[in-house]
Amino acid sequence: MELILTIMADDRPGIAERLAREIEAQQGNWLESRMATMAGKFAGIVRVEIAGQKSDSLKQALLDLKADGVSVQVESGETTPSDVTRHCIEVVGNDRPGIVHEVTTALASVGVNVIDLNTSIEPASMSGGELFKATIELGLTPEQSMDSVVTALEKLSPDLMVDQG
Amino acid sequence: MTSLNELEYRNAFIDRHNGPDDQQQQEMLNQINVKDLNDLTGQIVPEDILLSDGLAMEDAAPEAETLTYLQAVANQNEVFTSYIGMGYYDTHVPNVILRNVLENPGWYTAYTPYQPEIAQGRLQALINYQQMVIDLTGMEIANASLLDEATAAAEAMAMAKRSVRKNKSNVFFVDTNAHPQTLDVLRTRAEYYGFEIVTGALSELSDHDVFGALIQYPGSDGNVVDPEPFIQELHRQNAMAIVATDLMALCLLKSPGSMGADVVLGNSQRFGVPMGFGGPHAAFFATRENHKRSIPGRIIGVSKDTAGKPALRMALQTREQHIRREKATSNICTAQVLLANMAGFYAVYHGPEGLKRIAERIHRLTGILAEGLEAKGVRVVNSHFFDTLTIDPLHNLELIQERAKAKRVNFRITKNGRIGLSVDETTTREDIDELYDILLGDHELSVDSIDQGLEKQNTTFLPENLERTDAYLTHPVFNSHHSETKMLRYLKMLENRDLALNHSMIALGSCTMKLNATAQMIPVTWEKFGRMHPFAPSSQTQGYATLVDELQAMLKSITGFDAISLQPNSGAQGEYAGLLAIRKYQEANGEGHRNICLIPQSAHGTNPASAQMMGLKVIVVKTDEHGNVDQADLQEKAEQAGENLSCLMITYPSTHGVYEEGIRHICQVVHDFGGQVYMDGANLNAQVGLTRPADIGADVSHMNLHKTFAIPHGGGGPGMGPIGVGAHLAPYLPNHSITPIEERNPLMGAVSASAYGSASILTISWMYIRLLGANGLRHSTQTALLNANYLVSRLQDYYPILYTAANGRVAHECILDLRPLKAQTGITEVDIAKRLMDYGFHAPTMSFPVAGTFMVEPTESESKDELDRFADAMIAIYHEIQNVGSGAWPAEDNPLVNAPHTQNDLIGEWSHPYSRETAVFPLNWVAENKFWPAVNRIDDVWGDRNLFCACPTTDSYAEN
Repeated sequence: MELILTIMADDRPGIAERLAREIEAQQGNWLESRMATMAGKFAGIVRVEIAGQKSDSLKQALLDLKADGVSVQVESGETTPSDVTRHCIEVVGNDRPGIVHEVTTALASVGVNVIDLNTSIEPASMSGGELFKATIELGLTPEQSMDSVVTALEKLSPDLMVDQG
Repeated sequence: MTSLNELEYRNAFIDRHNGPDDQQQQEMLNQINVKDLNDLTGQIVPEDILLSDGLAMEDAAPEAETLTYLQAVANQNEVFTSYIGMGYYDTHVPNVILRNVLENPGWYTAYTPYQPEIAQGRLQALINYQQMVIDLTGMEIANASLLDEATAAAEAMAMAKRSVRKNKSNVFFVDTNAHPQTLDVLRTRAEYYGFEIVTGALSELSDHDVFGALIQYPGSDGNVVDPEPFIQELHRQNAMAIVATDLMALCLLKSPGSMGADVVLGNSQRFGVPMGFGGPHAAFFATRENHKRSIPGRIIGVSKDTAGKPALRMALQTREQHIRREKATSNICTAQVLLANMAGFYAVYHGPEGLKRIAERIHRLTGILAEGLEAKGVRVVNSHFFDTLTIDPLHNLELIQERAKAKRVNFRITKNGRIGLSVDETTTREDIDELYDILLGDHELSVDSIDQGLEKQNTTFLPENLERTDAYLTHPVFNSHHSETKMLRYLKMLENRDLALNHSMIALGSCTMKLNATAQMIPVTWEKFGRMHPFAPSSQTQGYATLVDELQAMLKSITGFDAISLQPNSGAQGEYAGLLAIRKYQEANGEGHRNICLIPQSAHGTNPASAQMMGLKVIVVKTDEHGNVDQADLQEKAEQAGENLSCLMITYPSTHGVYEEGIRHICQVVHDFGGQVYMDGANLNAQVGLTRPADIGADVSHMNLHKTFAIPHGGGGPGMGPIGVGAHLAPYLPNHSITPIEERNPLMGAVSASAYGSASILTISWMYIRLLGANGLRHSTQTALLNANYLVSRLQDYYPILYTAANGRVAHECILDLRPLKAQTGITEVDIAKRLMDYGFHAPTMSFPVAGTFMVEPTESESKDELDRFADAMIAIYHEIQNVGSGAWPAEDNPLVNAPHTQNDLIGEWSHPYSRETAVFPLNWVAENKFWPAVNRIDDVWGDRNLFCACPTTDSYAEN
């Protein structure tokens, strides 16, 4: 079975190593992860494969990390339906308040599933100002089209550029 | 006693061009602890690339002597009356525009309007131009100009492919009646996009499955065919209809927009811009609102400032190469702002009625010519026309050509022995009479009586269904400034809103805003250079031939290359032409599979955008912590690319403003893997006379004549980007189908509409190099290094300097890191940029190549006192930021976040925690030469969300 862990801790060296140690101790398999440090906090998501009979003991071991200041939430993973195809798009536009909400609302309006969303804000070269950039991985069912996704996003404002990866 | 040699002072121009005099130089050298300029050079330029000898050219020459010489060169050109047409027409440049715009440093020395608050004048002029293009073409949105008609057509072709995603065709159809130079450039461009070009009569269009087609309206032979059925056919195929046209013709002809065209483009030259042997001119480009994301080039749009007042700025920059790099809609960076402004002003000056009168006069004279010829049995081939006739000559062509030569008249001779004649604004009734003499010999025709006959018939020679019935140029701006007094004041009013080099230093990193000396500008508007048609016979263009030869020799000497092409019209075009030469060379050697282009992280956005246009796959090479190319990563990426490595594109000195020590090794690594080295010449100003791209190991490099070689920036164009190449690449330099270049490979096509690009401004760079000579060029480069390092010494205690060499030196520019201040106080690089306006300065380059920084390039032309004023302003701003950091001024109300301050801010109640004086006269010298920003800070986001790219109604101004 698969478990999804979400981790939050004050940033310090060795957090990922600590997690890996616990997972290995229960013969779990670290499948994939995303980790980031923002504003002094460490945050991460990890997908783990583990034998059913070991899952409870792994859960317990992870929850016990709370004592070390690492709080972990554990959920059972679900495998995505096989007819969903993954697509990657990149979005760039002028930054403005609420833009992430606008983008996610637009995606929700066409009913697509957001698998991965990475956003950043950076100063625009030459003219200044702030640019919003997002890399989004989407799961599309056979009935859903990329064109409808692009159209929904482009409706948000003329400066929003959508590139299909 | 002083020698006569000294009294002659042949180095006078060196001292005029370089800002710091001997005494200032010494003070600056002392301040940075350096003995002399050679000592400084030795500390900066790696020894293994330092040029041991001086440049192989003469030393400096005085202005008067140089102008006299160039005048003699100009006199080798013979100005014949031109009826050649093909997109270039003689015109009367309105004198008020000639003197107050084209010859006025207030217009020609401004930079691209990235800082819109101090560029409202030319932004207004550009939006007038866009409105004019929108009106005459009948389209919904127009850009602020492209480089020339042929490259505009190539951009339209690429845009068509992007826009009709579901259309799987790879074929682009070109009307056989298109201008041949347009077809030439389309063929070059199509090859590496992987498009197939099919040419044919429009009637054959329906035989092909295409993704787009170019229709010339009126045709190159003058015939006016209804484009509408072909536009409809294209739409049936889900393909794009691109119409190349002529603004003057559209004053009388139904607009392509009203017939459903998707893109409309052409050359706006005949709206008051000299032919100049091919340029510079502004090509126009208009399309439908729904294609706004796909438009290449700059677009000016309306937004509002913090006071809610309408204000203009460049819209939709998220399309462009400086943001999107290889994903950009185009590699275009420069527009042709100065020339677009002139064309827009031509429309403002003449107004719709004046333009219509000119167009009707042209049409009438053409009609009179046609009637007379037909009366004498000469067949006019085209059944309908606006201004151009194609005729089958009755007499033998040689006799006609002899007579034409005697009367100093040029016309077009087609491949099948026909004569093409295009009438223009300057044509008179006497000219028509003369044409009768030439074409008919004895004729006894009277222009007057033919005219009377036409007047009675009350008919035109346009197809009836294509006569224009809708109004154009109805906006008040085109109907208010028709007296010269009003026009003069309108131009002055706009000029006053723009900060240009005639006000203060514009220290833009990588843009080299140096002196554009008056003596260098003067020859541009000489008739002998200005009134030359690009396709005039070579026997008449010997002056240009001399200019080209001499300039090429100078550039060879400066760069060390074996051959030069002057054709590319901008730096980005130079990149394109350079990569084209590389790919052609590799193909000729059976290495056409080489398709990987390595580009360092810190490269200009045009590099990846150009590589993408050449069908190259871009692989990014990392930059190390010192801003240099990560050599291990380069080695690894080159190895991975292996036999697919095409080239490396590298800027030198680096975009970080450092002479990388390892440059020779970098070139070697690329060569070892069989690749070529493209050196981006943006920073060539740091090399001239000290080192040479070819000696360092580059195979090809472009030279931004508008940076290093003194062509003014024109407020965002014109530019020129000639390339130099090693002997092995010389056979792959661009050629031209109409005016083949003798030493070039006949199999090579064109990258620009004319053989020598924007030929008339080559005079500026020729003058620049000749005036400074070998000694002056070297001295100027060394002074540029001194100025940059002096600024570093003044500013480094306040702003960390990024990427200095190990000894703390920079090359000709430096990067100020503003991020620590931002982190401490929340004051951003934009706040600082806008605050600099209150001090009378244009901001340096922002957030390039590193986000959150300024890149400062003072150039050699700024004196110590100007550098000190700039440094004092930056230091004063530093203290202001500290006041915000300490809480003395609130984060939301301080002179930085409120900048820039306008005169409007001063009237009424003053509620800020700082004084009015602090706001507008922050240092004591500011008041003496105060520049008032015309508007408060402009809201870019609002403008892009509420996109409007035409002239706002006067009401919207009145409301405020």
